[in-house]
Amino acid sequence: MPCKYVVGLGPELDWALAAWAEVAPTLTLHKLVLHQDTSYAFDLSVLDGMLTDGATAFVAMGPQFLNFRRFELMGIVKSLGFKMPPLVCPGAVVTATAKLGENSFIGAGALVGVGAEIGFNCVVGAGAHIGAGTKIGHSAWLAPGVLVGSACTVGAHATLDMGVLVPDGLHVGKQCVLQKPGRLVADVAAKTFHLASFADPVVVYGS
Amino acid sequence: MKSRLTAEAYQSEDWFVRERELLFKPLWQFVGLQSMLAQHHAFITRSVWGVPVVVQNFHGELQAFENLCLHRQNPLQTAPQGVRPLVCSYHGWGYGGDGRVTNIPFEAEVYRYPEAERACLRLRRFALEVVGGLVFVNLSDMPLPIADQFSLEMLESLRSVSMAFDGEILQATFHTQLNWKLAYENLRDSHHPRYVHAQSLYQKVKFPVVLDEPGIAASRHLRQQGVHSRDEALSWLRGFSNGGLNAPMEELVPYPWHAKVERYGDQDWYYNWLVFPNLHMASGNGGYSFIIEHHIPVSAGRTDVVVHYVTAKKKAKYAVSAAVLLAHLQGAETVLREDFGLMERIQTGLHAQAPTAVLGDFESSNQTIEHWYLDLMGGRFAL
Repeated sequence: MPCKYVVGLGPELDWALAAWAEVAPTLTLHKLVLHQDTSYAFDLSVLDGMLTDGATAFVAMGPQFLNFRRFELMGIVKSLGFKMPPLVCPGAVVTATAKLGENSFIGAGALVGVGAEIGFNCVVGAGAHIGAGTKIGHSAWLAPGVLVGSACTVGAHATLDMGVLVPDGLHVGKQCVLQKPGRLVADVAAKTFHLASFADPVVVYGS
Repeated sequence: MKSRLTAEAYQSEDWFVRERELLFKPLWQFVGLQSMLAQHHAFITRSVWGVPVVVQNFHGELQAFENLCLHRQNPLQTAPQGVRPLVCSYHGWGYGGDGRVTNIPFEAEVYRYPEAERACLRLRRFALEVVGGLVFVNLSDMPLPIADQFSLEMLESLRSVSMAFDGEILQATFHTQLNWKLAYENLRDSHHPRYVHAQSLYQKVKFPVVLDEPGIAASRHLRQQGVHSRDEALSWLRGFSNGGLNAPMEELVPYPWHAKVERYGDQDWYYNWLVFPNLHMASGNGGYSFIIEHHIPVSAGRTDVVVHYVTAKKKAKYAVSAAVLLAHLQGAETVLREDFGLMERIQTGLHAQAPTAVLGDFESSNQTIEHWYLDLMGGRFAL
């Protein structure tokens, strides 16, 4: 009996488990709940019993720390030798020419357009739309209902919250956080944070 | 002790204008971090008490100018920070490092300025000082030496800590509805954290409430005798800024990124720098990272607080450095908004007949500043 380890924490872990149970009812699912200490380091002891013998894995957690925690966790699980196929939830439409990276999550009712590319470890929330030819960098987080037009780019580790609309051809840089609902009117430079509690963008300069 | 600062000092626009002329215009003002100006054409813009200022790098040399084109007063640089020649977007006038106009497109064809008028075209230039990694400007035509404003010990402390700052900087702006003086008074009140920040900062640092007996006596003396000369006023002024180790941390949580930076110092203490009148720097984790908090007066009842977060210098670049800075902002935002909310409530409650403050001995530094400040505003001395 093939099995899958679903590893992570928070509500995202339960969503992923429920979705895998629905799309792959013959799989035996093992839920592995991780804990973090006060410095947000993972307690990895829960991974000790994982067996790679034909098993696959999926990592699910929120966009914590610009999605770097999920990225870190995926790297740990991947390094154990597991394949990590993407999860396409029931009702999602992924066009034949679209590409999905490993450990990506495509939520119910989401649409991934012709020729779109979703990088590894991305989350595309329920009902989100990704236009034709758009590229989503790895470990990005697109909340339910986010609309990204055609020929756009969304950089790695970006987080787009509910209500964000990226018109055709616009570019959102790496590690951006867009919390304010509304239609973007210009490209957003990397490491720019449109935070709900700030009137002006919060910006990181230099390197 | 009953304060002599009435609500007018916090609410009146006329008072605010006098403050600008008597206090802020003569003093050195922090405008930004040198690392934001590291390359040719890098610039930052600030409004310094209503005066638009651009600080720009010209082949490695920093210059500060009024950020208005001489032709039609269009701002030369419009972004808060960037890398761009000093060129007006309205008609293409370009400026050099001495403030002179270096290029006027179609000058001979359409402007035809007389030679004497053309020769006088030069941007208003402001004095600029760099202390370690901190950039200050002075709006005065005859700026006082910066060592008259800050003690040599303070300048060395500012130089030392700011040289430890990394070049990657997060900048955020809080638009607050409060008079700028409430901010510096609050920062010099070590008794409020146990109440205002009971569930946040006070859990990490128990700020000691120190009764500075010599300072208390000096403050009383100043209230009775007043300031007699400019030299005496400058001597008091230099005592208003200080910094360094402030209080031990209850617990220092070791984050993985700590190993990736060159820690400033080696003490598990809260560091605090109070830079009069409107700059505050601190490290809430024993020198691994810093907040630089700049209170920019906008009007009597409005202050923009521009905060920068930096870690100590990186040993090498690491992938999550921007996430570290954002986490700092999100962690500190609670504390900052606790302060701003409190001060905004005070500002809202002020009215012409409002009772004045009754300051305790632990607030002697605020009392001293108040006496000095009222002597300045009353014309007993000028800076």
